Amino acid sequence: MTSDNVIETHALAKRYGDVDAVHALSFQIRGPSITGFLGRNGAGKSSTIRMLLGMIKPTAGSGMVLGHRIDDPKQSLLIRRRTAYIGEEKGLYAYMTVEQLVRFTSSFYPDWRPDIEQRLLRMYQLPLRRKVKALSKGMRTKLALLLALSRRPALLILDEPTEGLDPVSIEELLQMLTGIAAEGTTVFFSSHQLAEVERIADSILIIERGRLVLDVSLDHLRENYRRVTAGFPARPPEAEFRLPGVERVRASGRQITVLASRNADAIVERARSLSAVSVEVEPVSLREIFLDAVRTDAPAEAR
Amino acid sequence: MLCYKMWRETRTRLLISATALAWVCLAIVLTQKGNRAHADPPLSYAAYIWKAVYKGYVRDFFLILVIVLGGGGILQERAHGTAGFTLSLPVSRCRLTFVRAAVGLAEVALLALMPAVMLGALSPQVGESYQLTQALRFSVLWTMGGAVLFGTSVLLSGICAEEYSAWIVCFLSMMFYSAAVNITPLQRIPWLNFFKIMSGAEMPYFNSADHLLVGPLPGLPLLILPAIAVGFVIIAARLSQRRDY
Repeated sequence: MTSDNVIETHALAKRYGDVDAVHALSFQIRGPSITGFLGRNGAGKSSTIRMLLGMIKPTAGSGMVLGHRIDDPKQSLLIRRRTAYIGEEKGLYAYMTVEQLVRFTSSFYPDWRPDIEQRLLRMYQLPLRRKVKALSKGMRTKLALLLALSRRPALLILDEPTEGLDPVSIEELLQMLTGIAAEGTTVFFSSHQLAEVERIADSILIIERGRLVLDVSLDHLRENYRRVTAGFPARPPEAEFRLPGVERVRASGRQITVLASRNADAIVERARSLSAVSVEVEPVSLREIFLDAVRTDAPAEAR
Repeated sequence: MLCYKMWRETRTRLLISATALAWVCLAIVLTQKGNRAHADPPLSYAAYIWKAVYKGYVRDFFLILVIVLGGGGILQERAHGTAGFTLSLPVSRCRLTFVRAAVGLAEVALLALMPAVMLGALSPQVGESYQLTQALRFSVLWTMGGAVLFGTSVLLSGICAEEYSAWIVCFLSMMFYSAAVNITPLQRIPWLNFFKIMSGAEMPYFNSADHLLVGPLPGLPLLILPAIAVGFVIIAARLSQRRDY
């Protein structure tokens, strides 16, 4: 494993009884960057995150975060010292006030930055004397962010950070994530909100049924992923389009649609050589790629 | 600051428990005259207090409250949605368990002091007196006995996901233990019965004629009981290290 990877997993697996929650998951994330971790409900996102943070133990495989092994309790402490985590539930101690929770959390981090804490308190307008249980979900997310960011973590892991937030809060959160990534923090977040991921992420990982089905940078995706739609005088032979870079071919009447991760020019060439009457090449949205990647009617190996 | 977290999580339970125990002690002292007169033969005040408080249902009530104080922990935090936050702190699971146990044991000691405080304050109000040193010695015995049950409760709350399940299983364990040391041949060895160690019944450091503790408290049992409690806490910590949350 290389030391400049912020997160690195090799054949990481987690099994609950007969269920493979995560299966042979291998990926690397270099920092500082923003990585969107996508997948349907139950795809294995939360299990992966919890393995990275040492909350659950891998059944097989290995993983490193910030150069420390995730399955070693002592090294896991070192990981957590430099990693901030905001879970989907934004579960904070309901019985504490905002002020008490800030004091409590800051006591665990010698490198806590009171200047950042004060700046975020002002920015988020968090009521210091109010108990956490009396805060709205948006306010709780802001408090969780304050607790995470006031110690300038090397890695920020968020599980569904925008879940339950109003559009204004979502916008503020996305701007904040972009800002801290620019300051050197690596952001790794799971989400179902593809438009948000597409807006701020540098790269994406898509996981389906515990298996990694796509690991790509968004720049690569924007530059190379194309949808080629070709019309023919008669029903075209689908097999002719099984070319390198073709992810999916769908025929409908006399029209054929090809989703390509590269090699779009060759596909266009092939369509023209088969006497296509029309050929259109369009960029592909992350949403389309995601839906294609998590299609249940195709085995992972065939994608 | 972990102590502060544990204290905040248990202080309401402690306050309710202490208040309940105080009320029971108050009721016992206020009704002493009638109860003692109806006893056959009539009881001295010390004998009445021993039978009602230190050997009676107040002791059992104290032990139930101790079980309740032992509940909580990471497994129960999962139900409240805060386990992720706690486990993301740079603190080992062992430390979490040990700090929780330390705070809890201190609370058990505080709870064990309640009868001493109440008896000391209330007895003169009804024209009686109960020696403070006597009451404090019982508090020591209660603390040590309570520690065992507290350790059991901590251990079970690391095994049972539901807080109420841990309490119920702990209560049933206490009943089973009580039956084992009171009904089976084990009853011939009173030192195996921590209820008796707590009350002094059948013990050489207890004078059954005047119902008072006499001589020094038993050193070895008072070392063994907390050692058992610490053993349970260590097992709970080891279990928490292995468990997925």
